[in-house]
Amino acid sequence: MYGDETVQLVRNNLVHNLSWSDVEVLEKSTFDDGLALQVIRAQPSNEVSQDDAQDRNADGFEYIVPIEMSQHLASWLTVKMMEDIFVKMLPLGTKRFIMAVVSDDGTVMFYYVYEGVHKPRRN
Amino acid sequence: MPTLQVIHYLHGGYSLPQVFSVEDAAELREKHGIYGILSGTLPLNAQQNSFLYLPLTLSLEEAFFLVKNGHANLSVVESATNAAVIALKNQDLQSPVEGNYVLTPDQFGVRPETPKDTALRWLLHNAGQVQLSYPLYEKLRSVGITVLPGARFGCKYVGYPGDPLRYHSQHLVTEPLRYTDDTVNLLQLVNLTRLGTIVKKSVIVSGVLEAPTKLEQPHKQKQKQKFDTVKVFTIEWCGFG
Repeated sequence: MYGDETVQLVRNNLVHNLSWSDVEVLEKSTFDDGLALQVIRAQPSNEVSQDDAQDRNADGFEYIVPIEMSQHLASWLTVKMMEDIFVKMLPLGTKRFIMAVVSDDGTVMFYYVYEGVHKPRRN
Repeated sequence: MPTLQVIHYLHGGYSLPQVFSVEDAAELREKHGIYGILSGTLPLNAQQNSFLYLPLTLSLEEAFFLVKNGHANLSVVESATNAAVIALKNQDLQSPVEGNYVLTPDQFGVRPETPKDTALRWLLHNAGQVQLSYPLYEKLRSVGITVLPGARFGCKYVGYPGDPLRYHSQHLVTEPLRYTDDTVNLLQLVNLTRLGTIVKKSVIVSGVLEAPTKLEQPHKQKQKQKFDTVKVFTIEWCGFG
């Protein structure tokens, strides 16, 4: 669904902008409907919030999934796709993934996605 | 049991369900977590928007929940009848109107194929409007979240972990989507998550798997299945990027 350059953009952002370590682009997953998504696994460089200890994944990794955002075209992200990411692309028991929204002007933004209802973190 | 009053207008539409007694409003709030919106104004100051009093106007989701689970009666008042005129006199609003059909909870399960009753017609008339939002409302309640309208934050609901008078809100709930067909509006998501960071709320996105087209008999097992037909995800801005 999106090119390697989008994945590389996010990867480079993690490595050079956020200074995260062990950044690794995992294998591409193709779903039944032909959609292909890719997960990047990485180790954050520092705690993001006070609640990080309880919110973060047990294995200590963050899983980043790039999603493209166009200012002119409708997005193709559905709720089913979010569930597919949890069920088919992430290790069992993963609490959250990070959605890397890549705008068509090159902006990269990061969002935590939790399954179910999750209380807002304390800042 | 509290009574919800609905007026059936001559043009075919319906008013939102309203509660006209303090006792009923208190029972709804304390026992059932139904908060509604106070909407009564002084006749001379119809534009006032604070210090409002009865009637308590309920959303369709709240009214459906109450009637479906047997917590309230629904009384439909035909606007063309004398009863409506009587009903709108303040002193008579405390009790259900005589001569009009009152839907009691055990009658709710009647299959709506033959909508001969006014109250069932009300249900059918409104069912389409809450096709996605009612399952979401039920789902949120099932995980302990109560809601108020979310227009102030630019979303569908504001979610609270209990009575809104006792707790701060914690969630911005977006308009429910169809699970496979609707796409998430990313620009809206960016807006809401950024706002949510400042006001300490997380954003809830939901997908309804299978929109129920008919109101089915409340059945314990069915209800349980229904909860699972809504998938919910919580999204927060990471704080970087």
